[in-house]
Amino acid sequence: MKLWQKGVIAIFVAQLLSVLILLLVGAKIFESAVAEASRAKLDSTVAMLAKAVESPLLAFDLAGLDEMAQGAQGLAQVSAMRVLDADGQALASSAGWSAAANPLTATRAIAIAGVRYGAIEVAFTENWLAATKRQIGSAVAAVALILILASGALAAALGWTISRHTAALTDGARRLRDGDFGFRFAENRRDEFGETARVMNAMAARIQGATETLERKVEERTAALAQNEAQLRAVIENAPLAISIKGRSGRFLRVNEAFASVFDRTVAEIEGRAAKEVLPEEVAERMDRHDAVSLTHGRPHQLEAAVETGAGERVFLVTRFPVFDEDGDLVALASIAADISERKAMESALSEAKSVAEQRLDALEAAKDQLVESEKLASLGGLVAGVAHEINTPIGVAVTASSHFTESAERISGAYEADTLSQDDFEAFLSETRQTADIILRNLDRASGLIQSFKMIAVDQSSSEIRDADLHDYIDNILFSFAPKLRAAQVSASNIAPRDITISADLGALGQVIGNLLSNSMLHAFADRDGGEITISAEQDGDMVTLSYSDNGCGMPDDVVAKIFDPFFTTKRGNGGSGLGMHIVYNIVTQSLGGSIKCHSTFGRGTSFHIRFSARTPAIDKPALTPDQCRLEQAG
Amino acid sequence: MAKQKFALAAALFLGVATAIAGGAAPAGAKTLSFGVVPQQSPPRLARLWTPLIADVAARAGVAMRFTTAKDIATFEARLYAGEYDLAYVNPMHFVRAETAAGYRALARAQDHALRGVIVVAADSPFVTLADLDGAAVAFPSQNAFGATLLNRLAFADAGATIRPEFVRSHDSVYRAVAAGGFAAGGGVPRTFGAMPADMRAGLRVLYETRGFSPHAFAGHPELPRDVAAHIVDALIALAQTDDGRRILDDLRLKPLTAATSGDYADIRAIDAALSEFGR
Repeated sequence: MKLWQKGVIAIFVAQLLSVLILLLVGAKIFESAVAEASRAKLDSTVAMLAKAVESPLLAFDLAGLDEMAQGAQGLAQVSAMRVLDADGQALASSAGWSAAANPLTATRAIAIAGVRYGAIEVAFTENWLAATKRQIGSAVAAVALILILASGALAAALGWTISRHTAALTDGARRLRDGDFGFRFAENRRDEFGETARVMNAMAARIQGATETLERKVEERTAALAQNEAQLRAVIENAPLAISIKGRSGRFLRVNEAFASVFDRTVAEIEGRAAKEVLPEEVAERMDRHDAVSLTHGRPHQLEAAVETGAGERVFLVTRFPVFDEDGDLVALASIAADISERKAMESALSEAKSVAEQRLDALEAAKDQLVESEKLASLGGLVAGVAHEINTPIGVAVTASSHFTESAERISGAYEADTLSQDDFEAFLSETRQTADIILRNLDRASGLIQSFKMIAVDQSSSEIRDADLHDYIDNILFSFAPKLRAAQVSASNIAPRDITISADLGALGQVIGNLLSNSMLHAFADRDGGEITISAEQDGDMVTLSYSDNGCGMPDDVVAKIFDPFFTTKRGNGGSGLGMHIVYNIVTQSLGGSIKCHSTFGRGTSFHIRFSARTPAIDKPALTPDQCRLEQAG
Repeated sequence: MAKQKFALAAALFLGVATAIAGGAAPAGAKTLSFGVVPQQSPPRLARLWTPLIADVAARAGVAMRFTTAKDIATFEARLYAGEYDLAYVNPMHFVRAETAAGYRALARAQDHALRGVIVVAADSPFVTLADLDGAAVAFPSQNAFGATLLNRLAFADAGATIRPEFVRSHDSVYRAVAAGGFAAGGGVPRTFGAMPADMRAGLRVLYETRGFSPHAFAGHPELPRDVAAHIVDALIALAQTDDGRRILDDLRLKPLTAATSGDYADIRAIDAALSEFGR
């Protein structure tokens, strides 16, 4: 059964039910409505009769009234009537008047200008109401029947119309479905079918347009795709890399000549086959293993793979990566392999060279450390030599005086034994003795002082302990121990450090620094000239002390200043310079004193060093610096 | 004894009931009938006269009810038989009722003469009564005093012989002439003036008779004299209040005054001539 037929039947049944329900539910309403209508009709009948009776009543026309009363019986549903005067006396009655016999009566006064002239009483036939109900009921039933028939006919007509147009729309829609997008519906109707036809025509036009556009785009895309494919193939074919693409099944989708040639195969032999079918077993297994990794992680990874080929073992850098479609699903695994055999060989050679170089460097470092230690000892040795030379003089004088005193004593003793000792001789001997003793004492005192000084310096340089000292005095001691060298070089050194600076530091380290600076000045600054001046000053700034050392020697060019603290940097390599003196200074200042050192120099004018360190070095036992640490400090 | 008590109770009850129904009417008094000549339809007459009757009844302290008859002939028969306690009648009816049943003249319009008017269609060519010789002329009834008798007397005096037709009421006369059914019609100034304006516009007054004594308020000879005196006072008093004047205006009546039998001598003089036209 078609939809329109169902619709028509549904409408018809619905209307039938509506009418039936209306009749059933409205029965009571009908009854009261009918009663009301009956009462209204009754009232209008009585009103009409009252009007008619007015004239004969007012004219006291009894014959007229009687005629009316009898005539009223002729009216539909009126059974009897009588007319009363103002006093309620019956003036006229229709034959057979009996109010008691008929319960349905109506009374109406006849009054004019507020004065009652009489009344009428009208009796209605018993079945009047029932008849009226029947009359209305049959009218309602007739209307209901007409309604049902009309609605049935209307529903059928509507259904037929709808079916005709829906069939046309369905046929058209079917043609559109079958791809006949050129088809158009008739648009001549002004109703919903016309509207639907217009909408569907617009839709068909859009589909037609969209289809044409789509076909054109497909062609364009196909051409573009072919071009892309050609480009891709050209790239793959010409790349100096072994390229392979595998599908999810594990079979090669595409490989290039470079790939095939690694395995002494042709492209045709490999494409469409699995690795284990066409490649060496060991290679195929390795590939499968790496495929599993790619599948698991889903991201590119690189590996190096050695493959045994006809031309010997070759090493490849293989980049493997998954290929995803637009939905992010993995569709292929690709690999690009570059032959890095040469590079590997070079890397290996380099590695060996590096290893040799490192060994040599280690040896160099060891040599340097040895040199540093040697230099330290050398400076100590220089110090000992200087001190020995200094002591030599007073001791020598003392020895000479002692030997002279011994000679004098033997001479006086001989004279005494020979009893040739004169008073003058004895007095001369006593005077000589006093003089000699005085010379010996003075020179021994001087030697003692020197030894004291040397002892202090030597102890300081060979140990690293924190001690308290007056800076000025300490500088004096150092200058004192260097006095012979300075004198020999005709260099005057002045200590202008204030006397109130007390430091608690590794004095040995500080002494070695000042000693190295003094040696440096004499070796370099004053090498080409006679005489010069060295000034050592200091100033305190809270806990920090700045010690300034300056000479008025030859100075240095900037490039030399820049490298002055570098190890093994020397301008007198051939003349015995080790190039470690200033490096040691730098290390001691930064490590043992925990301070910093800066060098300023003006070529031809002189050089100055500014050493800044804490006046209260923490009492920690610093380990000796390793060569590595030296390098690190230098770099920093 | 019990019967007498019942009768007394019934009489008392009826009296109270009547008093309630009739307003100011004295207990046990008879309702007086007030007959009006049916020159118009009974309901219309009733609507016009009921206010006056109610007012006079209240002032005079009596119960009074309007009545009329189905036609003038019936009215005349009842009048001459003395069936109405009170009646408003034309002068000819009065003089004949006086003769037949002994009615007394109680009141009449003051300074008012009764005249007849002969109307024709406004666009008709008639100029004198003689022009209507031989024409059909409408009258309300055979014995209508002003409208029929005075006008027929005028036609006779003018030597015009007309064909009288009786159409039962003044309204019918005017309507019939306006509708072209008759060349002319007989009426009185009062009823003609009471016609709707558009109806009057279609008509033209061709002739107006000389004045005669007006209609009379007549009393039955058995009406007690004191009651009659109260009613005359009440009728005269109408013109002295606004309500009363309005009632008189609605009836196109002039202020009323007491009337005597002598006021109607002029009518008696022409009664013989009038008899030629009436019954």
